[in-house]
Amino acid sequence: MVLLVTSDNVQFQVDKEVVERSVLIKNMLEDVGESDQSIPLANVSSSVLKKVIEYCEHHRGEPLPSADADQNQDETRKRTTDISEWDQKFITVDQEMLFEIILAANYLDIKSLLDVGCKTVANMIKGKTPEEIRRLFNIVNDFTPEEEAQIKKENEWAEDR
Amino acid sequence: MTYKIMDIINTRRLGLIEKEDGASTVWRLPVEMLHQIFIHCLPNTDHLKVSPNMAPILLTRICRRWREIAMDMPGLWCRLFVKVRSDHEDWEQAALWYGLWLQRSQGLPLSLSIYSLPSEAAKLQNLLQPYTTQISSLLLLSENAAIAAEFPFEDLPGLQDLTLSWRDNYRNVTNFARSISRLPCALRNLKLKRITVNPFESLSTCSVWTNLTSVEIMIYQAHESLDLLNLCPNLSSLNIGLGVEVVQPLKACMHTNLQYLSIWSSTWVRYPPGDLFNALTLPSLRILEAYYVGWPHEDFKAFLARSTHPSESLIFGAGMTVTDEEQAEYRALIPSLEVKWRNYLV
Repeated sequence: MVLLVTSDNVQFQVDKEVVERSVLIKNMLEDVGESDQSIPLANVSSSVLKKVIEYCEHHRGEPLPSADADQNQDETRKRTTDISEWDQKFITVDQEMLFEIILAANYLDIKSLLDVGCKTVANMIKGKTPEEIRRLFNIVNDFTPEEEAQIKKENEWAEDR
Repeated sequence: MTYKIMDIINTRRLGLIEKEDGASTVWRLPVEMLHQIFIHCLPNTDHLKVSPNMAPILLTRICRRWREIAMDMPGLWCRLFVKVRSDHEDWEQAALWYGLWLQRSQGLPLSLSIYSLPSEAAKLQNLLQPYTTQISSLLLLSENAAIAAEFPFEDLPGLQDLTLSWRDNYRNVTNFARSISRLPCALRNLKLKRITVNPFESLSTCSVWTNLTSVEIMIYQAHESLDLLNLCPNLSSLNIGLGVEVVQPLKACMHTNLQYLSIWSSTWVRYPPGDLFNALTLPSLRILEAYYVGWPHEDFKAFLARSTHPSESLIFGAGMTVTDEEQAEYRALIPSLEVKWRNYLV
């Protein structure tokens, strides 16, 4: 078992096999060897870590994505935004928690969870108008009038394609 | 030990952005996270249409930060569908926007799908000229094959995948052979969609075949598929549409690299490729698919029995009639053989 301590000072005892889905923690454990030391996670709150552990528990034993798989997933290739049923249910959380999970997945280096989070946000964006997207994420339209004019020109042409 | 752990944690922390009070939660995501989200926002198609309502252009319309990030992400701008119309009222304007899109790819390999009338080839050449070394994948659609005769294939040194597709079946094989002979030696995958090459001999003098690893083609005579295999020693995948029945005896042919073979009939005659199976020895074959062909059970059984490396999958598609007993006989020869049925053409 591995002892994790969150930013709000809550302790979690987690199976090594489960917690090692985080490449960050796996590398740490490999670096320090067998130890009773707790691992402080200053960037992850208890509510978020609880969700992350739930995800890792569910995906326990599944093969971790290899470095090669990362290279093959280069940006120029088309990707699917399909998310498994369980993952979809798991990631159905409020927006604040969704972004916290993405940040935690990035920090803890859990690629598959990061993917689920990013795909979920992408699916929220797809099919919406700019105004709907701004409203959804509370984004201010900060374009200058010149930029607005340029975007308008670009859109007028693009709409005709 | 604790210090060591804290060092690792602090290094990772540097990549994170502190929360800004009152700001959108999305602002808290570092640029790398937005990159990943933006990539997932792209439509799941091979080539992207220029549309203000879809990524990547949609992403440039939200706010300054998103616009800057999206426009500086070459991976968003590497797949494009270009349409060159003769009735284009303002081609210069269109070329400007297509050019802006392609510029944003910042030198990354490009995958383009191009629809152009042969009469518009010059416009197309001017548009693509600054990006010729970037094009790695090209789908060229047209009304007829004249576009291929005009297209500057020789100027695309990095072209690896080429698909040619047009409405009219190609009849001027001499011109087509000239197009094929201008293909760059980097080419690995060649698909000739809806194009029946007849006769195939006229194409066989081109050196491009030697390096190909994957070919999709429609030919008239079964012996031409053997000519093709002899021309392409590095081929690992062959998808072949056969036109008419065998009219001459086939010479034995062994191809040691072919792993995937798909055979289908390109006409209403369901040609049974028995002579082909009798002539072929494919020791590396893993997957065989068949669509709309008469099934030569005994010849195929003999072909399977000759295989030194047993095939893994046998896939029957639409238009196939193979009995359960016949399938059982194949499994008796190769117990690990998986027989699947599919209802569509790949």
